[in-house]
Amino acid sequence: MMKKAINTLLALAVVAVLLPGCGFSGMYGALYSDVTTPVEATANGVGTKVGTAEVTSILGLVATGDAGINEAAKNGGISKISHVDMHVMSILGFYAKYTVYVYGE
Amino acid sequence: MLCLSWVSTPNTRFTFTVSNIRNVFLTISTPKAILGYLFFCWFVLAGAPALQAQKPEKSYIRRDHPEGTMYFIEPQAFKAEVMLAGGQMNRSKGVADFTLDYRDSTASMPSFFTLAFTLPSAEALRQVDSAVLVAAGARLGATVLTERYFVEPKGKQWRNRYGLRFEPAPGLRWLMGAPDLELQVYSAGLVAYVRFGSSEQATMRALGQVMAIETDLDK
Repeated sequence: MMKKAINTLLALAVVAVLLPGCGFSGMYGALYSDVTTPVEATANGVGTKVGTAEVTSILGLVATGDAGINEAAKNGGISKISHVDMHVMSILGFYAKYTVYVYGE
Repeated sequence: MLCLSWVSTPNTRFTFTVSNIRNVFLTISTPKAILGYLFFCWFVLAGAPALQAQKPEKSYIRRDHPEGTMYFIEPQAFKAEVMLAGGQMNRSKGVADFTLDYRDSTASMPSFFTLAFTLPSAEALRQVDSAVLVAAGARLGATVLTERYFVEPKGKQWRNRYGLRFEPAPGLRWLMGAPDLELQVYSAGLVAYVRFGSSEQATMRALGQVMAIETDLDK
């Protein structure tokens, strides 16, 4: 009985570590995340254009998309980057969306 | 390495095998638990994007800059009907985002409204000649500038992305004209009719009102 309980706890621990991670690191909640954090800033002035790019992860098993800074800058028609932010929305690791925002001119 | 398998009788057993770690067993007493788990996954996967879309405040960015304020509405999904020169009609799906660059009275440049869209197509869209904003059947404004961001192949299709610049007043009135918005894009040999879904239009309308209230540019 005790052994079964320990095994169950170990299994849940493995699931808890594997599923919500989704390849992200930083200040994110294992159960729910909806956070925006800075990535990079340059010496260029604050931009008036924004470009976004995103990747989506399903069940922590399949992730597709291109959330590179280059892709976001291309989508925004930006050639001079002022700063970069990112936003992560994740629910229990079952669904996660990672969006990069590039600001510039 | 992680392996996952199960045996369905008499109980369902998941076996996790992690390299260099002894097997870990999770036993579930009934298949109903699996069905419950799958239903929960479906509920989260189906509900999460919809939940996000229903909150307009989650769909825009407001940033001050030295000469004013920049408002950005995040990409909204649309459906497009592309009418080719021979009368043939193709359907496509894409996304569009909206930027209002508000400049105050001391600024060296005027304010402007930009609609940037990505439209997949069978043939490359070499250029956009003009575009028109239509709300409830009324034409509100035409482009003052079009800019090609990129045209690139993706699989068997082409990915075309353009930025359309409009005067701010018709741009804001168009956003607030939801729920009957249409964008007509004219290019050599084709016309694309772009229409947004009801939840996207609700978001666009709410955020258009925010911009109009804060900038007074809709008059």
